[in-house]
Amino acid sequence: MNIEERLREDAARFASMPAPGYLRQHLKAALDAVPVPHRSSRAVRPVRKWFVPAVAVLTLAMAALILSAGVDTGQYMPLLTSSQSQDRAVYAPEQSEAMVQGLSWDHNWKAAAIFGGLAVAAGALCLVELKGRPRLLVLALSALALLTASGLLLLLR
Amino acid sequence: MDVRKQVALAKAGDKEALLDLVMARQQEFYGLSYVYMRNEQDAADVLQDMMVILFTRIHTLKKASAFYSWAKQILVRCCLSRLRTNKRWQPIPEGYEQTTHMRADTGLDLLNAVHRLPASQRDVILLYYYSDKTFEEISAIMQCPVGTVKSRLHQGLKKLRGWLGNEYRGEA
Repeated sequence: MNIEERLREDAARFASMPAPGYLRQHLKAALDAVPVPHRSSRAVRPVRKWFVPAVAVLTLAMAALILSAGVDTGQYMPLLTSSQSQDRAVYAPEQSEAMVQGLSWDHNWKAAAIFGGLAVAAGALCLVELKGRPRLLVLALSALALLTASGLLLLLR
Repeated sequence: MDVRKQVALAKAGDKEALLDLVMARQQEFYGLSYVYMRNEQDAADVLQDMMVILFTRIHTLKKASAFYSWAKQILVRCCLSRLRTNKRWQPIPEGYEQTTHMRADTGLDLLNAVHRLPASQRDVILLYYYSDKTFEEISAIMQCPVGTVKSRLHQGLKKLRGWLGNEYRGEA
């Protein structure tokens, strides 16, 4: 029998070695000397794996909404301000302006509604997942409130 | 025994629940501890160290089902730590190679020979053969590259072969 086989055999033999009868009392004595650490009665559950990606996707969608609305507003604004477009709208200037303004207003309200919905979804996710972590929850909700307020301001300006 | 339930109780501060968990596999724990310490008293003392660490750190255990592997990892670390601080090791005596084969029937000769190896080689052999750890796990425990672990294992086995003979006749 070579050394390696003998080592494996030895390991198996030691793994089934009977423990001394006093072991329980010995271990209990060690445990009794340790004070019970103060922990919350309900252990904090770790956040689910999908939580961070889900919040990231929602935040990205909100950011994309602001950016797309900004681009759209940028497309409408020259129509209203440039002299060229005003010259072109010479046949019905009031109608054209009102129509463009109406379209832009409608579009912004829709974007704001979607934005608000996304913010509420992100907030609900944070509430559910960070329930046991008050500091983190306050931080996340504050950041979300700030993002929502500034986003809505940008969309509805 | 429901391990998850017992772990949950232990996390809530129930010492008896933790004790029951360990005592349910007392042979495995004691055997592993004995392999490192080679005497009953030290093996039991290291188990005490392990119990204290288990109790104070059990709230960090995420998967209740991984309790036993986590506890054994802690036990191995406790053993290695105690072996390093233990100054009772003797250098290899003159003529050890000649006398070792005479004690082949005691059952402890091979383990004693392993413990005569330099600490780095001894730890690798104990972790690999007696604790069933993989090279990667040993590398993480010993904080050295996998190549170093393999090299230490090879050197340790080579020394053991030199001391005990190439074809070890333990059962003869």
